[in-house]
Amino acid sequence: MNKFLIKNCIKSDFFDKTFKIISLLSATLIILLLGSFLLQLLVLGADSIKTFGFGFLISKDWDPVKNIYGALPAICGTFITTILSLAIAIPLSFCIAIYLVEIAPKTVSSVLSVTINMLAAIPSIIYGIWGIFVVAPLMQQKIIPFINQAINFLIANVINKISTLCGGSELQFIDTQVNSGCNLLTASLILSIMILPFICAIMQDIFRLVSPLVKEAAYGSGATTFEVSRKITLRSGLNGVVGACFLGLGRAVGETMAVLYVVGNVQQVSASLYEGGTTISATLANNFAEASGLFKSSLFELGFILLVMTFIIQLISKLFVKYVIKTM
Amino acid sequence: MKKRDLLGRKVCNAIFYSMSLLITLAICMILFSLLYTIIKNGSNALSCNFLIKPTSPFKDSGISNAILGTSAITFGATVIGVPAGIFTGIYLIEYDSQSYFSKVVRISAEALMGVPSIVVGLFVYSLVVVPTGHFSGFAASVALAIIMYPVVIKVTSDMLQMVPNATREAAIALSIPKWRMIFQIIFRMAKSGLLTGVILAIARVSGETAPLLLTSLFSDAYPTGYFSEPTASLTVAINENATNSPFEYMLEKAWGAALVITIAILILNISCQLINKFTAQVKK
Amino acid sequence: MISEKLEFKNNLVDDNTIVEEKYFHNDCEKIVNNSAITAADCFYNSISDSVISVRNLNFSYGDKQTLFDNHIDIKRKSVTAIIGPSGCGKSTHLRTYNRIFDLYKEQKADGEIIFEGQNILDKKTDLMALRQKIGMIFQKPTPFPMSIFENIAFSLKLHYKLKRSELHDRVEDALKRVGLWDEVKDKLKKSGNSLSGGQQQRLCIARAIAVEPEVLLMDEPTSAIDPVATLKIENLIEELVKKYTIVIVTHNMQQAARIADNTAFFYEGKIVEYDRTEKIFTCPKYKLTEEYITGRFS
Repeated sequence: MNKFLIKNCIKSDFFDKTFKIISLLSATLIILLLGSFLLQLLVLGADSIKTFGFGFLISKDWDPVKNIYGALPAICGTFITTILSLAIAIPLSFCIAIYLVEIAPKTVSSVLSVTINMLAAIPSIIYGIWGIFVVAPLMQQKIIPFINQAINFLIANVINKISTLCGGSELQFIDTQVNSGCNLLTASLILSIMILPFICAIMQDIFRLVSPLVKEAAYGSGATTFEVSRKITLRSGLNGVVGACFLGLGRAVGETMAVLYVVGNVQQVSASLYEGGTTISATLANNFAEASGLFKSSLFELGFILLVMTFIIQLISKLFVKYVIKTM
Repeated sequence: MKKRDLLGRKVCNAIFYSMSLLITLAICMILFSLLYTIIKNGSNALSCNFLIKPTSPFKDSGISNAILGTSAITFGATVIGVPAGIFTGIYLIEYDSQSYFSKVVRISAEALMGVPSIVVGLFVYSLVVVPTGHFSGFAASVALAIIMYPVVIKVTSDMLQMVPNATREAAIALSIPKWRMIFQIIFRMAKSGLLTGVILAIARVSGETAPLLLTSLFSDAYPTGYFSEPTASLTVAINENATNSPFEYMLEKAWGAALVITIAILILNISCQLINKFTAQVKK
Repeated sequence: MISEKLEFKNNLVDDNTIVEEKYFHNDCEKIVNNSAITAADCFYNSISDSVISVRNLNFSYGDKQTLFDNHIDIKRKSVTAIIGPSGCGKSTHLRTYNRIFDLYKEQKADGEIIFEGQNILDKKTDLMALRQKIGMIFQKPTPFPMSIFENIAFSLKLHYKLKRSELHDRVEDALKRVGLWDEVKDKLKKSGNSLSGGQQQRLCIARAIAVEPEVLLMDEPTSAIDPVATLKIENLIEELVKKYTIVIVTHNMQQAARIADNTAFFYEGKIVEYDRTEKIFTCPKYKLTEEYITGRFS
């Protein structure tokens, strides 16, 4: 009996130790993984870094034939699509989340929030093919001409009248011809539609967590729903809302498949949103298969840049939450 | 004191009401049109043949190899990623929740969670594909496992955190060994949360495309060479059919594959919601 | 007018017949029975100066009715306490006065609550204006997620157009009136949540009185607060009643005895007894009231 007990003790002690060691090892693994991510991409991109140096970041040239590469078009495209898509998605998802949490009847809100959660789970490639086969033709034939007409109308009737009154020169009209539906604007739109359910789902969860007592107190002092949403719900959930926006930003920056099809994949820096462009991730997905040598190395460097960008975004989000919101 | 005009505030409120309603309706319309497009175009392709025949450039092809490939790759990723994530979560909560080391682990997990999937693909390409010399389904599994890993860590540590300390104290008071306490008591309490978290992570990685483009590529064969050959997957099949072919029927196949993967992911999601509902009812 | 009151009193008696049969003091039944109507009527007539008059108030959560034919007059510039066992509907009753229950679609009230000559429960009632005139303090302190200064400025800015200096003066004034100014004047920019529970509750009271309401509703304002802070708030209530009408729901009978002029005893959604506080606590008319007061049930 006694022997059995001791044996059992030793056995469980052994198990306990192995268990702890396994846990420790897997915890260490994630640090190693992160370190090797940076190292590996840096090492494989070393060729390109040596050849192009810092100029890689600001060079517009992209010529596989001459073996000259620059990251500016991809970086620019990434910035433009990300910022534009967030500018569209954040206010919209805020409105929807507030509507579903504060205003909508219970049944409507539960049905819609389930739907939105589902849509957040749909793979990005499906947004991509939807974009190229449905949205891009629509953009080319209907939406972009419509936007142009609206802007031209505005120029003709408002801006030019004001500027002639002030003695300024007349603005030019926008050309209504659009070459293709695949451009930066379409890519941003698709991206925003893709990250919208994602941001909206998080925002909803955050708004539902806001204490109903505080809301009651605000209504009790005579505030309208609008005032309560803006001043109380948003304010108490601000931390989470900012977190959700940065998560959306992280997604938008690295998204490949939703952008790849509709961005046009042209290595150029252009001021017009109607022009095709490219993003870092689209460049990687598009060129990786046929690349070799210096070309591949520069793609690895692009990947490294993207990685560093996402780290910087996370850092900013941490600092933002820590310093800006705490003091508010 | 001057009173404020109530009307102005009411007008603001009414504008806000109608705006948010309109925006919600508009976005829902867009999102429903997406679902409608998938279902309409996908159901044209869907047939028995479509599900049991492998992919090929010909008209009567299917996607059976891609379904099997996606299953194999996702399964492999689960086998690698989930235990690693769960053990790390256990380490963070049960063994060492305060130290500098665990802080670094937490930060790395968060950082890794934000890494774009295509960069993970690049990394695994250099880590697995280059040394072994060939694209393989296994490489894709590794890539997806790396994507899952931090997600599972977060789910595990969140769920274990929610188990009250009194339970741990009670277990230790009975002199139950720690590993038993963790597996038999704490895990049981955190079961449904863990399960749904892991299922959602699986659902998320099974829809990934970008890392697969760099690791498993595509093939028309069944995934027999999981460790040594390019392996088909649903998402890459969509990519192949939608972009590389001039034929209308290939496009149809792409939509069919899109419908299949959407349905699979939605089923995983719905099952999570059912699990949550069920456990909520049991707790009541 | 008198006949109407009489009729209403009769209703009250009818509602309570079951209660009466069970709980009436048997020994003084006749005396009370004869004098009940007149004594109560006298009391109701004494509240000629009522701010809120509730008539036939019924309330339901979905299918479940929680208030039955409540009648009550709230006397101007007095403290009216509402006591009763938990779940008897006292908070529900209070929450009809500013229609805060409107936030929840399944909650419905009908009957009459006359305030300033208008029925509050009317659909036409302007809730924003109503809630400016009838402020509310909740069970738990509810500081808004902003700084101490902004907490008070928030409700002020909702209802008044103020210049910056004026706004500052009003905030300072409100904080001084609740005795919080000296404690917080150096940290007005700090979050309202950084204060202690008692301070938070006084902040909420300051927020409510800053907009110059007429009535203050307090829903168990001291139930989540330590005894010292409770005492401060009770003193504050005695100070505030010089200017405002206060209706306070309380679980604590001693508190009602200490601060209230009139007290209403609720039981299972009905107002069993409503009278001057001394009377409720010294010689209640109904046995049920006495049992509750003496702590035989809670």
